[in-house]
Amino acid sequence: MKRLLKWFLIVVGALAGAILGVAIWIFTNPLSAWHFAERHILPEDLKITWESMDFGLAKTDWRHWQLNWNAEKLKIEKQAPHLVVPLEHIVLTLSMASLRFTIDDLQVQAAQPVRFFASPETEPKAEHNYYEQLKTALRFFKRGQKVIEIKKLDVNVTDFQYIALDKSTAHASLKISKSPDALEFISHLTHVADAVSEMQLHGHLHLGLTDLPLFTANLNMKGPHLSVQGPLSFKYSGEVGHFTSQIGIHYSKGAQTYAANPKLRADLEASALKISVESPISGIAGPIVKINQLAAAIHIPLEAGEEWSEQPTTLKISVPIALFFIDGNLRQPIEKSCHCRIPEELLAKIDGKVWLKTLLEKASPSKRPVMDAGFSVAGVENKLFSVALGAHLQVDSESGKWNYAPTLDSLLTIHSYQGLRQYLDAKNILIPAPLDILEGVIVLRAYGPIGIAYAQGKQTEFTTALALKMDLKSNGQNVAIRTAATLKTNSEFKRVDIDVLARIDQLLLDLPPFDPLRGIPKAKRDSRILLTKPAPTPAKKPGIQVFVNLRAETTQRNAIQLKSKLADPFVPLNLLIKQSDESKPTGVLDFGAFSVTYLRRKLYVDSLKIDLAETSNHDYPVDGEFHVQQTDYKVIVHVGGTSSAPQIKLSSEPYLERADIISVLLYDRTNDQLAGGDAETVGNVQAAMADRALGLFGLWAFAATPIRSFSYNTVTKTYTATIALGDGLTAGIGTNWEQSAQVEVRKRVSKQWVLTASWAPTDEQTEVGKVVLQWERRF
Amino acid sequence: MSEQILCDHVIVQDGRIPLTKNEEVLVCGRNEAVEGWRGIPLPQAQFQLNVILQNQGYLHARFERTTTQLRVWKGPVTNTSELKISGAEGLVNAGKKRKIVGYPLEPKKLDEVNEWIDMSLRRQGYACPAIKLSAQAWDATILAAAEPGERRRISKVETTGLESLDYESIRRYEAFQGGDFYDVIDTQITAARLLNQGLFQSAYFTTQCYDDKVDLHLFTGVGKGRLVRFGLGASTEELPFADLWFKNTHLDDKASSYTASLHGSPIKQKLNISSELYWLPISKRTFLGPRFKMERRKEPAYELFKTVLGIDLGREWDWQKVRWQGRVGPSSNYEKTLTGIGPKEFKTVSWEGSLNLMNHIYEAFSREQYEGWNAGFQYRGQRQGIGSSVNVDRYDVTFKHLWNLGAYSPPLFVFASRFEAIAIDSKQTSNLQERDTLPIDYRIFFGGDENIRGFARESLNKHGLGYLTAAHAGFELRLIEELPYHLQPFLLADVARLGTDRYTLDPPLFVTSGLGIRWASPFGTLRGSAAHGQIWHGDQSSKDYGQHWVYFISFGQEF
Repeated sequence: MKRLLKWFLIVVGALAGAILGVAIWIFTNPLSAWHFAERHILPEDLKITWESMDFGLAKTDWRHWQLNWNAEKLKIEKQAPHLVVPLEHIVLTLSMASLRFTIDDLQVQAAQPVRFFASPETEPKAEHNYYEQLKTALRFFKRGQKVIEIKKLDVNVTDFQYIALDKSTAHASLKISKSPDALEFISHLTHVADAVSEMQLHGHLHLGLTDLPLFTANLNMKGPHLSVQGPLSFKYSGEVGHFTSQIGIHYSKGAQTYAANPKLRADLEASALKISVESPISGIAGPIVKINQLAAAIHIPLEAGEEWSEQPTTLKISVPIALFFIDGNLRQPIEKSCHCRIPEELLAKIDGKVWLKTLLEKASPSKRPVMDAGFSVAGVENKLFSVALGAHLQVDSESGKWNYAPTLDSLLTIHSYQGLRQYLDAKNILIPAPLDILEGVIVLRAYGPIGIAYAQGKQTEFTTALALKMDLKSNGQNVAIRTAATLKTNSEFKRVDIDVLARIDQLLLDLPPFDPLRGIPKAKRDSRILLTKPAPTPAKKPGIQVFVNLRAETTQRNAIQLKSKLADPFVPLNLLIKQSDESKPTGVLDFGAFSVTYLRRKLYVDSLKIDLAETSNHDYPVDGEFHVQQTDYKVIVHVGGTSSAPQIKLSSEPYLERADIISVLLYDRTNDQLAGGDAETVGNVQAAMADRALGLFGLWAFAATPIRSFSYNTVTKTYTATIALGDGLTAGIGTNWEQSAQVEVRKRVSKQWVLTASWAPTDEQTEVGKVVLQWERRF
Repeated sequence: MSEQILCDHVIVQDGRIPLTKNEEVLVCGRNEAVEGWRGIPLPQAQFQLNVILQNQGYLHARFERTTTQLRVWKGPVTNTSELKISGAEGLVNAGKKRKIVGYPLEPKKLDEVNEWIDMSLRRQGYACPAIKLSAQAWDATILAAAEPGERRRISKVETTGLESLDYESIRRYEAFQGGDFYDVIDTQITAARLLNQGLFQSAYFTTQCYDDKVDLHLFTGVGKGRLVRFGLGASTEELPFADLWFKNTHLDDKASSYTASLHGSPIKQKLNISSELYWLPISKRTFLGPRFKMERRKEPAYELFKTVLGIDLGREWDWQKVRWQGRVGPSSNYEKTLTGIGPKEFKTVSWEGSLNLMNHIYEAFSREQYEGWNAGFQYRGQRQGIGSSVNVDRYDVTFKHLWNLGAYSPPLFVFASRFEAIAIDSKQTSNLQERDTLPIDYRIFFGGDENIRGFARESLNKHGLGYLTAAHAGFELRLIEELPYHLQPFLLADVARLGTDRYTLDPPLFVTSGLGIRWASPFGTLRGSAAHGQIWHGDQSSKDYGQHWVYFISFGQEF
């Protein structure tokens, strides 16, 4: 036992001697000791140099020692993370007594730029949550306060530079000084980001663990358009950390001005971080909504020993949306229509869960949820309309790949089309007759998942579906249309493609009660007359580009029925129209068989197709066949060419020459049975047809109405025709149709007798005119 | 300013807006219509009224709309301040187009300008021009951008529908020749000549341009050759009359024809048979014209019965944009003067010939009477011994010119002038006492709408004996398109001098001044005039002629 004790004492003594020896060696050969440590102990990428360094240890009495360290031009460089810290000088006076240290003076002066270079994230996973980190820090401060007392502190870094990966540099200065009961700091940052050019944080750090807040500061941030200002405070009491702030945010760019004053409170406790935000907002107005308030509550669960909990964070955001588009003028008629009160605001809510562990921590190979959130707007239900807007977003992650599953489920029902019409009327949006008298329901629904397309691992497109259903009726009219739309946008939301498919199940409409011979009114003004000077085209603002691709089609034969007293039984129409922003409309209007009875004559339209592919002359190709059943002949008119200059082919059963066909068509007699004036009329019709001067309406008039005379001017390519209305009345029509030219050089008084004027020179070579009641026959 | 209530809910505050019945449907709806069209939403009425007003030249209309009423202020009409034409410098002069500047800026005026430029270019050889019209409301300017294209010559003429007719013969109607610069007037004239011939029921040209040429295609429709007409009617000379008319226009493949007509009225009863027979082997334009006429005519100064049997050699052709028509041939005449001065009865052989010239512009616009000229020379003569008791020749020279002053379109003033000289050469009847041996056709009766309008028809007749020499000039200054309903007022002046002896013009000078009005009605030209006849340097021979106002109303007769 003695021997054992003897060896133990020898070993301990040797160790103590070695330590003492090393200490004496270090103290007497500091430079050699540093080089030894630099080579064998410190990280290889760390390099510390200095110009001069004084190191002194003095014993003030038998229990007190004082360490003085003074370094000039000290420079610390490290490669990972990459930083360069050149210090002008550093002075440390440290007293030690009875195992308690007092920093009598610590001065750090950095006049040269201190640079920190950003590097890809390589931080190890934290093993504690924020609460634990806070507690550890506070414990550290508490212990530190027991062993270290700071009497004087003066840190001055004039230019701290943070060099980002993209080489952009943010500058900051930092001053820390010791006040009697706190550390005071002023940090001034410049070129923080594009939106923030200057930021200052001025505050105090109370480390005394008193009732005073641990941290108070005033934030002042400015940018080209942004201004943020307000107090921040963090207090720890009762095992709970309370962070509060109320900063004013003001953003102004051009005509846009946004402002918010969020009141934020975050309570950090062992089991959760609870954040609540309430803020008035001004300036956020969409096309039809306006947001004045926002309130959010976020509950982040904490789990011991984990940076982020497996439990989801819950968030609730509520935003009252003001219906400012319903102004006073509008509210009254709508409320009158729906017998209801239109609310001033609708409450929009976002309610969801976020798994921060999945979101922020390293990717897991297994599929894990990231977010599950829903958006809804408080429903409105009245006699005019009901709204239920909802959307849902589900996000999960698998092996670092994020999968988004957004869905929509929104429903807008217009219970009263008439109410909508009144609203649109007030908004100067025209619903023309006869559609204005319809009544019924319109349902707009956005539903189903929002599709997401990926390319090279990135989301490139989002698609969603809309459906519009109209079921409108009036006395004798019916509109049943189903419309499905798909919205597609790119990942930057710079372009939105909307594909619309309108399927017309039934469209029964009344045509206006026009008398065709009174002229077809022009539906639009003459575009040749320019009302305003064409302004120079402004440079197109980069914004969201919206492209609409429309396809409209009838779902059953003769789904469109246009009713008129002239048409028997109606004008049946089938259509297929395709229209996109990038091209002119294409498609076809396909009329079914019907007949037109006018002025006791009947024209049968066997088929008529109008191709909507516009020609270079702003005209439309046509292809149709009509027939007229005269006493002994059936005259068939085939129409090709274009609508305003049709090519007309005539045939008959039994066979007739072209001139005879026209003659039969006009007068129900062949050419050889015509009087001279009538024969001339036939010739003029032929000439007008050859010149393609007869448009579709002109063709209809000459085929379906009793023409009395037809005069064609080959020079001006205009025609005038006189049509017998019965009872001796006539009407003139012309190329321009609106012209009611009463040009008539012959007046038929019976089938064979014509009142005519003759200028045939007499044999005396004079130009004597005659008015003749004439009978004529050619044989 | 009075307001117009278009319908219950639409009120025009400053004047009236004329609407067609169909426009009323779109603005006001119609009470008796189906439900959908009984009322029109006010925004739609506003939109439609704006379209209507802008098409009427009201480019700055103002609207006020409440939930129940639409008030409309038409505002002032925007009148065109200037017409600018580009691309047709030297071809079309904008300053010559009337009725545009100072008139409402409306679509029909743009159409009018378009037609005018198009026709102007097509009259100068630019067969396929392109014209683009626009108008600027802010300065009321109409801009016309013309692309005349190449000036084109007629390359070839194709025909369709001639059936068995010989095209070379039909070419006698053509107002142009291959290689001529294209002129739309020429094709129009050609088609009109074909239609007037009677055989053709339709005739029109289409054009096809390529390079510096234009091809014409004549489409015709040939009717059955025999045409019979019967008519009852009236004219300014006769009221009433009846006509029976027969024409065979298709005697052969050269469209030789003959016409027979029977005319009866209290003043005139006539049988006339005439023909154009293209039977000569040497020419397809020269025809033989056998003719027969039997007539009884009752005029204030005489009553006459005569028959004429003759044959002519005739030819019609075009040269230098002028239609030339000539014919000459002998006639066998039987004439009996029933009342009045003249040989009671005679039979004779006479020669008759005529040469008429008419430029194409006159021919194309003969109804409008705006410009152009025509001229004529007629000869008739008979020799003593061949059924005639005297040697006598009659020469008529006429010239008429229409001058569009300033060459405006439409014209502002048309200055019309006509000259006529008639000479009857018969030495044997130089003595007045022997004058009654002259047939009526060889005596000159003056006065009336055809020559000197301040004197009644054929009232200057020297107590029924007539004159042997006459010269007259007539002038008319007509104002165009300034009065409503296409009424054209005119000032007139005539001057004439007559001679009792051959080749001699004696005093006095017959002068006429007055005014009148012309209306080109759909049925023909109606003219009325009031003219005051004056006799300058009157003598014993004119003391029986009255100098007073003479009023004429004529139908179908031009200056």
